[in-house]
Amino acid sequence: MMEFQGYLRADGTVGTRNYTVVLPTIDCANAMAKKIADGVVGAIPMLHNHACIRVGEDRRIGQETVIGIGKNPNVGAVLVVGIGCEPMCAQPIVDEIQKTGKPVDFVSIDKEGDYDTLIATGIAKLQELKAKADAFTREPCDVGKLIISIKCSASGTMSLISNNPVVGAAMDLLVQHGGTAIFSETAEILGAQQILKDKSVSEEVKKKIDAVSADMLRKIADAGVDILGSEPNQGNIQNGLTTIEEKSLGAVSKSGTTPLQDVLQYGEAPKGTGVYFMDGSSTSAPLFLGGFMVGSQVGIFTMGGGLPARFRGLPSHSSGFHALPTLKVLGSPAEVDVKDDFDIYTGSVITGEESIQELGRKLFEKIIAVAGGEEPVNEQVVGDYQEMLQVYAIGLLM
Amino acid sequence: MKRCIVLAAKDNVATVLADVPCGEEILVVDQEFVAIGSVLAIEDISYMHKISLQTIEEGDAIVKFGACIGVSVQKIETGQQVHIHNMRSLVGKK
Repeated sequence: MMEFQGYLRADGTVGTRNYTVVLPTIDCANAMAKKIADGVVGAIPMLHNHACIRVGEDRRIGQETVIGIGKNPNVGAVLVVGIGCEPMCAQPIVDEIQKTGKPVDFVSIDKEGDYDTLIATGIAKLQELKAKADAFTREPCDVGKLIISIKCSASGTMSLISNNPVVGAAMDLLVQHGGTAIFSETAEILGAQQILKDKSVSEEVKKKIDAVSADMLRKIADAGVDILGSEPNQGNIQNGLTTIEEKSLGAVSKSGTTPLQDVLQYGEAPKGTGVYFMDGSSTSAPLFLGGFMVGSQVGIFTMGGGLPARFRGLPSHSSGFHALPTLKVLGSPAEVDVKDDFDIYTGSVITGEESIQELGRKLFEKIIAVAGGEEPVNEQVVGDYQEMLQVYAIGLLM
Repeated sequence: MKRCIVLAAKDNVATVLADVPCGEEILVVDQEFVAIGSVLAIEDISYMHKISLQTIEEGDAIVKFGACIGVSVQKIETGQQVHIHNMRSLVGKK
């Protein structure tokens, strides 16, 4: 069994970080959650946009997202901040998070009565929670307990030659060691469905690939739009891509060569280990949140090239997602001058200096190091910038 | 010599790994970066864009990595750039 230095949680999951989190039940509580978090050094607020305007399936997704954030093993302790009139109040959220066995408590404006009392009580409770979380220490944990969330961006034709196949090779190694990888972006399997079906474990999984693809195609047809300019976008087109079909070939290559275990609904937890596809948007924010809410402890953000390679931190609402340490992978030799802004540079495949397999091993080793506490580039540069987490929505927002 | 990479045997396009000016002969390499032939660029082709490896008639599939990535909207000669001006997706509004 291969090991890394992680935080072994009471429920058997393992964390790669140990944050004390202030978690609003709903968007109305964001500012109060931030104020409380500001009162305790080292605690972080995880603000989000779950709101009362969500109905039906989207309400369920929002509530499960909030609970999932609290349950994630990178979160050592949680203070929930509630209102008292939201669709799911603080107490039932605490009850769910408590099932993991981690320290959790709450304050709510209906119980505390006024703003000043809420903030003061919140800070006092948060101090206690932080002390409990700080008592956890790293110990040897099974690499097979890692769940990696993968997102590709700044795609180009290089994405099918260097960065995404290298990520795929690293995911093959992860799966060999018993680990799990989740990729998503339903629009970006269009044109590459056969590749995924060919490696699906069952007929049922193949049918699910067809079903999520058909649903996406129907939405595109209903919208009556040309998706060129979004899928692929202008940056992708500058990077040589022409159609969504071409982009998808590169996108799915990041899932590696091991069997596709299942197609998950957004926010559905994998039932076993191996590679999983999660239905959802190509937007980074809900993608990484979708992985995080089902227990993902490390992210991989793979970039082809172009201007986003020059951001140093992560683009598209991923930079300030502190609780999910995320590695950056660069594919294009044209951006070799900024390769130190990445955790791994794979343009050397294109220049013939290194192989996909060699770099896949390097990336896998880097993932293990980051899981064990090493700071990836984004963590080094992000500072105190906090992201507003974006909860996924599929339907009517009132 | 500059190179272009062809990702599967039945592909009719390859990806150029450098800016290629019109009139330059470039090596065609396979996925293992082994040279398997050459092609003459008959127009400027930008880094990481695609070059046609054969004559492609209007409406024919553009094949890359063994998969159809769209169709040509005009006749494309060997050595021409294949990009959004002469091919389109089969997904969404046309």
